[in-house]
Amino acid sequence: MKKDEASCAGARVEKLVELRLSKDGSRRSFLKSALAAAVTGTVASGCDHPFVKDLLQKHYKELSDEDKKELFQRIEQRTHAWSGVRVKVSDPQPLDGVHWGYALNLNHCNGNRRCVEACARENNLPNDPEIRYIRVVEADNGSQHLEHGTVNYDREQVPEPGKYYLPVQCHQCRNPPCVKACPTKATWQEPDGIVVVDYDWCIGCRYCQAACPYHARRFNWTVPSIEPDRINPDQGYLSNRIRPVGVIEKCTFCLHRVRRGRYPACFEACPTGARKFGNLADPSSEVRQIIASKRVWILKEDLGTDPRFFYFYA
Amino acid sequence: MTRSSCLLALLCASGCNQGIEPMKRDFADPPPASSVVMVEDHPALIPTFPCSSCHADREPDPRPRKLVEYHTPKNGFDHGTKDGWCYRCHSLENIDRLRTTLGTPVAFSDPQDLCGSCHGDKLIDWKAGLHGLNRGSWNGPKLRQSCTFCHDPHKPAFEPMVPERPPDVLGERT
Repeated sequence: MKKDEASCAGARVEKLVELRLSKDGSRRSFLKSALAAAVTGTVASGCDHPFVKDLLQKHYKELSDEDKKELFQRIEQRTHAWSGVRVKVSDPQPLDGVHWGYALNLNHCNGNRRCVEACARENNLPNDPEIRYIRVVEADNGSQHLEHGTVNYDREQVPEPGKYYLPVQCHQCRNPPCVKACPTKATWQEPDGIVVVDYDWCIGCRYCQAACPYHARRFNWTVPSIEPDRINPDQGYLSNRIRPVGVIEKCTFCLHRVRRGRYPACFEACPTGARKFGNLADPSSEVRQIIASKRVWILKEDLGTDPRFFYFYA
Repeated sequence: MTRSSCLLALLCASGCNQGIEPMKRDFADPPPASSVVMVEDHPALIPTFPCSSCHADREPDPRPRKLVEYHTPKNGFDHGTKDGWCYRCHSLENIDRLRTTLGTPVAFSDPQDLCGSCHGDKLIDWKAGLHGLNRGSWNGPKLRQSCTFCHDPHKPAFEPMVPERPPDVLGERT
């Protein structure tokens, strides 16, 4: 909302308050009027205040380039104010003709959790309370009953004989149940397939978390605490910027990296080469060749979510 | 119009929009994948390379026998059948070279040519980027690492690793 619009709205409310005060009113109506007057005063006089700007902020899709610039600056200043770290917030756009795909070789994954830690570092995930996008399930060989597996295995060495390891993160479904569940359209699928969240538009109802069959969404129960030396200054507005309390967050395939040609952080951290990433629309990409030539399967295929995350054996 | 066709039309009219939306597979004009692939140079596995600095003066003994000391950091040999011997992979004629199963000499810097002479499927996958570590950019130049970056040629199976700590996530403790 522009400043003159806000002032105009404020003037309208002030007029209403005047009208109301001129009549005989109840205590309740007087209180309403007084509150309206107070809000009006704040809006009319304090348009440059960050609180008001937060209050009047639009949905990401409605932001103009100018709005974005101002908004990103505000986030950068806010982060600098509490942490002393100069960060750069940006929103790299989807690339034409690119549909992301991820493939994971279960023969090679040995459950070392390097991907989990690299993801936390890259995406500014807090340690207290701890949020991690990737969960590595340890299950018995030959078993598909993941509910009998565990993500909390604590071993001196991996892999444990007789076990296999299945990392699970957001599958960026083509038919995402989480997007359908959102009542405020704070989460949506981008043209390149990544399901993103506008953290400033999320009301924290957690419907999407309940809808996700892969348990891929995380909720910020408290103000996320992150040590300044762990802050990644390369931040994406829809991906790894530091989230406020009471909102949902999730893996975005490191959107701020992959849209600039880089690989996701979990991919680069994997010491066994189990992770493969690329463009599903490109027949020569690694993921397409894996789908064409390997034994590929997807998790919970029967739900019809049509994920972009594939598991294979090779 | 028969009753069944009426029913079908009614079902289509009322129910089609409630189902799963058709998937959009708009794969028009994908950008070309970069074919620029570089293989990273690997430092010598042993500090005493080249081997000829010592072995040039020695007469090679091709007879298999029990060795107690190896030149590699991880002492020992556990690769393939137990009757394997040095000169299955090292060249008898030129100790600074390797040899494939067919006897073709291979430089130490190109171990994939030797490894692929037995593990052809892995070599095909590695050349396509499906096996091993890729670095660089998904749509730009890629840096690929050869077999001996990750596998000790004398003990190629991965050693067990120390994992990162387990998660301490709210509601995820079992």
